[in-house]
Amino acid sequence: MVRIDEEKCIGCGICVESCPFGALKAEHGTVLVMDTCQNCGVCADVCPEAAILKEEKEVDKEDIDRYKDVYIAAELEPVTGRLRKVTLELLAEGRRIADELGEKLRLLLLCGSIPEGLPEQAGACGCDEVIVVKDEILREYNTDIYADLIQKICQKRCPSVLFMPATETGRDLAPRVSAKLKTGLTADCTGFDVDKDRNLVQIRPTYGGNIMASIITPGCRPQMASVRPNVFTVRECSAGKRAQITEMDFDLDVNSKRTRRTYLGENPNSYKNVAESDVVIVAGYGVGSEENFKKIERLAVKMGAALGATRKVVDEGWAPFDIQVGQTGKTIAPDLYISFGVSGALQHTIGIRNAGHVIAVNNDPAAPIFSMCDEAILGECVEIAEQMGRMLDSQEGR
Amino acid sequence: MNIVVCIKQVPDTNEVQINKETNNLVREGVPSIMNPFDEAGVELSLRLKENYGGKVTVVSMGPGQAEEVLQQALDMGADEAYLLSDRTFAGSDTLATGYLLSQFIGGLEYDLIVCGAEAIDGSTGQVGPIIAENLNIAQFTYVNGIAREGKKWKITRSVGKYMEQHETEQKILVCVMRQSAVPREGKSCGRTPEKVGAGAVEGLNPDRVGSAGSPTRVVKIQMSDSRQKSYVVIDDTLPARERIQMIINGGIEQKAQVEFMRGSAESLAQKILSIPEMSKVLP
Repeated sequence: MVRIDEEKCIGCGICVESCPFGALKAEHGTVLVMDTCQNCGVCADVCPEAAILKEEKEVDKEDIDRYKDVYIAAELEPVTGRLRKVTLELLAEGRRIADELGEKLRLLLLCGSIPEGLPEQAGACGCDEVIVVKDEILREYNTDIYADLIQKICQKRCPSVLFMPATETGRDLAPRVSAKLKTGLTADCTGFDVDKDRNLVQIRPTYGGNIMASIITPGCRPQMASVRPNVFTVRECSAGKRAQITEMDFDLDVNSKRTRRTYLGENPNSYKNVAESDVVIVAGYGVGSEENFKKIERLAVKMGAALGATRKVVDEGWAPFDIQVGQTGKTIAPDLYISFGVSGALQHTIGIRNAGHVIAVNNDPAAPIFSMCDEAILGECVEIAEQMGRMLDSQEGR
Repeated sequence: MNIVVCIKQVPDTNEVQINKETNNLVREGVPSIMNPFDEAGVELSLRLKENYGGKVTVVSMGPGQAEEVLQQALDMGADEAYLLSDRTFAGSDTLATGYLLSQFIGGLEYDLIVCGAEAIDGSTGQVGPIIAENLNIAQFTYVNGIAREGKKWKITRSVGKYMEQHETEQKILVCVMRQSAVPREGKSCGRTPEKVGAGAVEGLNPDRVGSAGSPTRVVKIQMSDSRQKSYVVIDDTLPARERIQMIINGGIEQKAQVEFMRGSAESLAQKILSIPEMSKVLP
């Protein structure tokens, strides 16, 4: 938290106006700092009397310098054992950061068996080394065993940066690892940078997507961050390159498992995966009812598109959380996105930043979605969806 | 059976407004609510208590105002509620918050700890697993259902397109989904939350809470621009006042407003279907 020097403060209120978090309050001729203060320092910069002090901590430079290189935790598809695309997306961004730091890019893989073609696949994405721990036990993800291994590898290798996928598994694992290593972890980052002190700048949306916060972890290593699928794009920057494979051995004890998985199966009412589809139709609260939501769903099925829903639609119980798109929910990057009755609140649109062509259907000309779409359709969304369905049917009949 | 539920008071982010002149969050008038994921957690815990007996204790870290959500949990039927509140806790990130909560919960009797899968303001979902690690117990995230069979916990969780079931006899922490239970209405009760300061948490290391115990630091904030390939980058070396002015004066790029297509539902449907990008999805 920032501190106010009450001797110097003249109570002008400029800082109160400037605080993006509304954490300052003018009171009795001075300023009160509330608990919502994020120590961002905007107020200290605007204060004409230099009466505001930002809290700074001392950093043990020597200790920090022991850590180097960018590491990515790989994720495999639980059933097929193949490398998930998000891993390659993280390699692309990891390569960029490693180049800025002038360091190596390494992939961390815990598996039952090494996926075929991995050295080439990772190498093409700029990866220098794949560190592998291979054991039958690791075929099935287990929080305790995975977290313990990543901690041990980090202690041995001292990474400066560790990126983890913000998938369900990554979000289960990453905080556990950060607690073991007593280091900072920034969730769901959408961008990275390197500052003049070589700290990783981690940018993430917060407050329902209304604010982008830039966060650093100056005094701790590794600097951990999680990133959702579809935030970065896969870039094969070094075609023909082969990553070096290094196997590491650890004693793994199957009896150390505290929990047992007794069932793994596809979700019974599973929709098409909204995060992995090229064409996505999203239904918003503007559709008006659960019945109308089903009509949009029928159109999606007809078009072979994945169906997504906004938070309000999920909150109403019309759709399951699995298909929620937005800051709470999935980030998507389809080639084609069509929304019906979506107003375009930030909490939703933050999840479609990388969508290709955006078609928005809504009856409210003031809807924010219209300021970020490629085609603005002003009309009754449910009627239009039904018409589209009928037209597709008659086309098929021909 | 003793159940501890961690809850958080959050601004109702559905209601968050941006001040058009200053581009800052308008805090005033934004209602504070119990994080809906946590509300489901309280409900699930109360149902477990009703089925198997025991006690439900609710814990929150936050400013004095957060008493409101603890009172709500008591009114729903929780037995005890504690508010961890101290000036020195302010500025805690997820590591510091998780440390503080685990330190306090470690001093209670518990068989099960329940957290919401994430909070609607920060959406990190990190505090639960950090508590579990600090207490050295197993965790389950993305939990839809929890049942007790003899001495065994049976957990159902949803992981992307898969559904999983797990079991264990050990103490566990679960992070529950919002749709796992519809919370009941409370009716006012005589119980009230107890406030706990830093001094009352046994063995608390003051260097590990608040800003001091938080490895992460916010260095800059800017208003979001949602669907843009890049966010607006404003020169850091400029004084904040100028940076803010830049944002106000349209520093944030806006996509040019496209022209509306209007007409009957039929003609609009036809127009959508004839957009060139549609050709690849249509037969």
